[in-house]
Amino acid sequence: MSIRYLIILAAALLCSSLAVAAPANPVCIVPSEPDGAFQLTCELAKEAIAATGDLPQPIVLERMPGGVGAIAFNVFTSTRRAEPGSLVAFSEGSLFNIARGKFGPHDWTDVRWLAVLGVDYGAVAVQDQAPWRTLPDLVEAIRAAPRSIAIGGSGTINGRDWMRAASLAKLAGADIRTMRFVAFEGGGDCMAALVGGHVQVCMNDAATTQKRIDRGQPVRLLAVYARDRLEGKLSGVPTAREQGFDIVWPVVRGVYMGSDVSDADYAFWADAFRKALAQPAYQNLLADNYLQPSPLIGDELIKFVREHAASAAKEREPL
Amino acid sequence: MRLLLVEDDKDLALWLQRSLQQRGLFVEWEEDGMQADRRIAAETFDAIILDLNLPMLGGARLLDKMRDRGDATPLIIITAKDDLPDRIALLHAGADDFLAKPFSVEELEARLVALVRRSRGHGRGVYDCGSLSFNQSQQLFLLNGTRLALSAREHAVLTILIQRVGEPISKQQILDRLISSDEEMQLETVEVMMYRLRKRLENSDVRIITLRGLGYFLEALDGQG
Amino acid sequence: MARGKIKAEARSAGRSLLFTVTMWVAPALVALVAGTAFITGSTATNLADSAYDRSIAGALRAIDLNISTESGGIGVELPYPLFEAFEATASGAVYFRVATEDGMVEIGDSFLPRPRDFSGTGFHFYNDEFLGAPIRMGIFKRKLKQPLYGAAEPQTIVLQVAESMQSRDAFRFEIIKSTAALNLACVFAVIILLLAGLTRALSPLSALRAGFERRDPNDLSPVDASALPREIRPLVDTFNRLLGRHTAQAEAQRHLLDDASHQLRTPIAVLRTQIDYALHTSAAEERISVLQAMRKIVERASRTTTHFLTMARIRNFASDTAPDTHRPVDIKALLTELARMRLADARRQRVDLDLDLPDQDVYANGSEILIFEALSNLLDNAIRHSPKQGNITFLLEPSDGLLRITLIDQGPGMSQEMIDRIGERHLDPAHHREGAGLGLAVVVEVAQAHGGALTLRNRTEGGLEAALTLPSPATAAKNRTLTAS
Repeated sequence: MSIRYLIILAAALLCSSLAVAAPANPVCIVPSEPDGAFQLTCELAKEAIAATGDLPQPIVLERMPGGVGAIAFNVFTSTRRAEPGSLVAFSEGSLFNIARGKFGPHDWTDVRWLAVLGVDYGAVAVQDQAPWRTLPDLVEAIRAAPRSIAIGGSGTINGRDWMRAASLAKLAGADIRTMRFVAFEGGGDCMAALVGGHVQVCMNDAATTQKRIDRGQPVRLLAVYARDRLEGKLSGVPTAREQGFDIVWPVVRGVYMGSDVSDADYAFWADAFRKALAQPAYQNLLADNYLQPSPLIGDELIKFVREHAASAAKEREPL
Repeated sequence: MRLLLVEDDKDLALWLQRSLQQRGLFVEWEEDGMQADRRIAAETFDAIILDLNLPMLGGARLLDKMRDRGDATPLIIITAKDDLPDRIALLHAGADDFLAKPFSVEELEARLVALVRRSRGHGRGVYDCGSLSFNQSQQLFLLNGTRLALSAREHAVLTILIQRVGEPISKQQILDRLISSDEEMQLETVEVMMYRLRKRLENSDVRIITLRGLGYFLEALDGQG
Repeated sequence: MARGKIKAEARSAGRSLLFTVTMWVAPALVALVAGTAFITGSTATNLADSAYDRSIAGALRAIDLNISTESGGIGVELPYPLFEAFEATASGAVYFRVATEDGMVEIGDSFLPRPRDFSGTGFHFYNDEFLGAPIRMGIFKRKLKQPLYGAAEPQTIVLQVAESMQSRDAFRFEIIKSTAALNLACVFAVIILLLAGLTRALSPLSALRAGFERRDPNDLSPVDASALPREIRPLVDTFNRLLGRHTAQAEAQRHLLDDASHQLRTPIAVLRTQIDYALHTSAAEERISVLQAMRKIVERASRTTTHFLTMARIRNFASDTAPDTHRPVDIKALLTELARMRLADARRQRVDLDLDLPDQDVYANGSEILIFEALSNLLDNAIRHSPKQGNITFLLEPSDGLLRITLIDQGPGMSQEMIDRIGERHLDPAHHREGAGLGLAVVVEVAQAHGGALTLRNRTEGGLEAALTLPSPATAAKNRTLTAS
């Protein structure tokens, strides 16, 4: 009688815990214009969680553009900070900006970091018919006539994308102050502008850019900021390192939750993601989206964010 | 009597010469001023009859040169009436008389005679008026041949009057002439002198005439001055 | 001679008038041209700005309408499609930037110059520089309706659209060019019209001058002023009056000459007759009497000559307004000299001659010769008519603006008829005045020529009182200038 009682109790507990934990209104916030990396992040989250079956309802995607995540960050540390079902997409750039205080008064400790879903690498995209074949070509062109080349990226000056452009320019010996930088609310917007010819270069990410190339958009990757050439379709893209520019820029993509989300809800989501990211189908999902796996969940992520924040705070701003 | 006529009009000169000659006055004639000037400087005349409008040297200029030389020859100017404003100036410049053309020869003769007689008298230092005569060198007044007793001041005043018979002199002018010798004389003193002199000349044919605005002068009762 | 002077004055008046007008108008025209150029320039700028700023404002509005805060953040639709249409009309580049004032959100050209000193909300336009070229910056600021992420105040959003100035400048230049050309054309037209008008207006003066040149030098007929501009007519009228006076004087002169000729020829005729008679007689007695008669005629002719010469001199004096013929005459000195000169004559009759003169100097303005002549005539008259041992007194009284010289004698006086005749204004030579009448007529003429008068009065105590009034220098000058017109 006691063993059976224990099994039934355990099963009941398990069931109840599962049944109590699932939050209502699961939402993933895309804090930018659609068709960018944040959208990709939320889509990945949606698919991954859906595959586990842990959530009765599918995750709904919600748009909240503004400051490439700044507005969303402020919302989820204030008015919506206790929503149990809301996940907010973030990237390494967001971490950088938060660490530098650019997202407002709240810092990285004010949200509950949940999970990193994958890693991307920064990349330089140009129009298909652009005259530059290699990164040095582009760099030379920038140095010769900086004002004639508009470089786009998400975020403002001293933001991540801009810093990538700036470091490139510095290596080229060009005056970064004479660069023409156009800020966008997300990689999707930059791509659209690139295609339209309003900017000549986009400081973007390899994954989102490749996806657009796949869709038939007339853009081309000039370089990728990875240590070694990536796998798959991206293997054809030379790294910046091999072209003489030693810049390596991994970009984590993940989600966080509001500051006052309960431990129980947070735990639910953490478990759900642990399960989701471990599934083999997820690896294929990543590969299809040109991302590398790098599962960091819960405490591991928090540790990572802490370390990142510490080093980011020390970085000097070029301008 | 030796006279010189300086006149550029030949007709007038000719007939004037003839007329004066008729009356016993012999007149020599010069036509132009320069010649006349040289002649006057070189020779002596009793009187000169001078026309103003002369060629070479104008009459007024000739007069000036004469008087500047110290030549006191009596001179009577004859000229057309138009030169009236110069008349006064000429008399002050040293002309002794002035006669306007046309004139009667009697008039000219009378004036010449009077001029010469006076100048002769003055040259000798003898002045007279009617019965009164004055000898300058002797400083002696004679009335009807008798010596006239006068005080020093009376003597001085009467001397002034007899040297300019018929020409009025004002109180102030008399005073100006006397003030150097007698510092205490005033206008009232002159009046007193006149009163006293009149008294002295009371029963003679000589009188002191006073005309307002003109002054005092001696006059002989028969009209001759 | 007068003709030539008028000619020169008309020509020089025309020249200097044109010059004067030019001197006055030229700076005004220059100022006008400069002013219109400036106004055109600034108007063109304002027009261009208002037109072009309008389209920038349109772009700003369009961007603004495409800002959405529904999501709880700020979503901005990229304005590039809008700009494509924009850039088609503008001949230059267009830039934009949308940001929150706190700097958290930014889209567009990051290096676009930040808005300067604009604290309000709404539209604001100014010139700035970007990428080395001048740009026109349009700014639109507004507050969001709701504060984002639960902030205390709604955030302010700043929209910037900038375009290069090329087409704007070209437009402005076009306006200026066309207006300037028009303005210059107008100014030139004005100048030409002005010159033409002036020349036309002044042409009557040249016509006048030509008319004078054609005139006979002796022609004293009046000038026809009817065809001349109104402004010149008073001048011509005055000139005609002057001519009239000259004509009148010439007439009077002719009369005088005719009269003199008659008056002098008659005695000469008489003399000739007498001479012929004398030559025809053998009797010496007869000849002597003829000679004596001839002397009388000569004296008469001499008097007549003197009279006419004096009259002519008086006419000359009266018509001659040159200042040097009118000099101050010291009347005190004049009377004294006159008395001295005539004293001998007076003393011949034992007549006393007294002068009552004031202490101060008394001056009259006029001709010394004529005044002396007049007074001399009066004195001669008085001496001639004075009884033996009588008295003649000269009285000199200055009073306001006039001086009065009175001669009082103790003679028989003058008949009233004579007094009246002498008082007549113009001497009528046909009346053959002799002796006293003639002399007194001269005095009357002299008095009137000086602007004074002679008054004669028989005194109750006997004798004649002749008073000559003359104006003093100040009054005389005033009278002269009044009568000159």
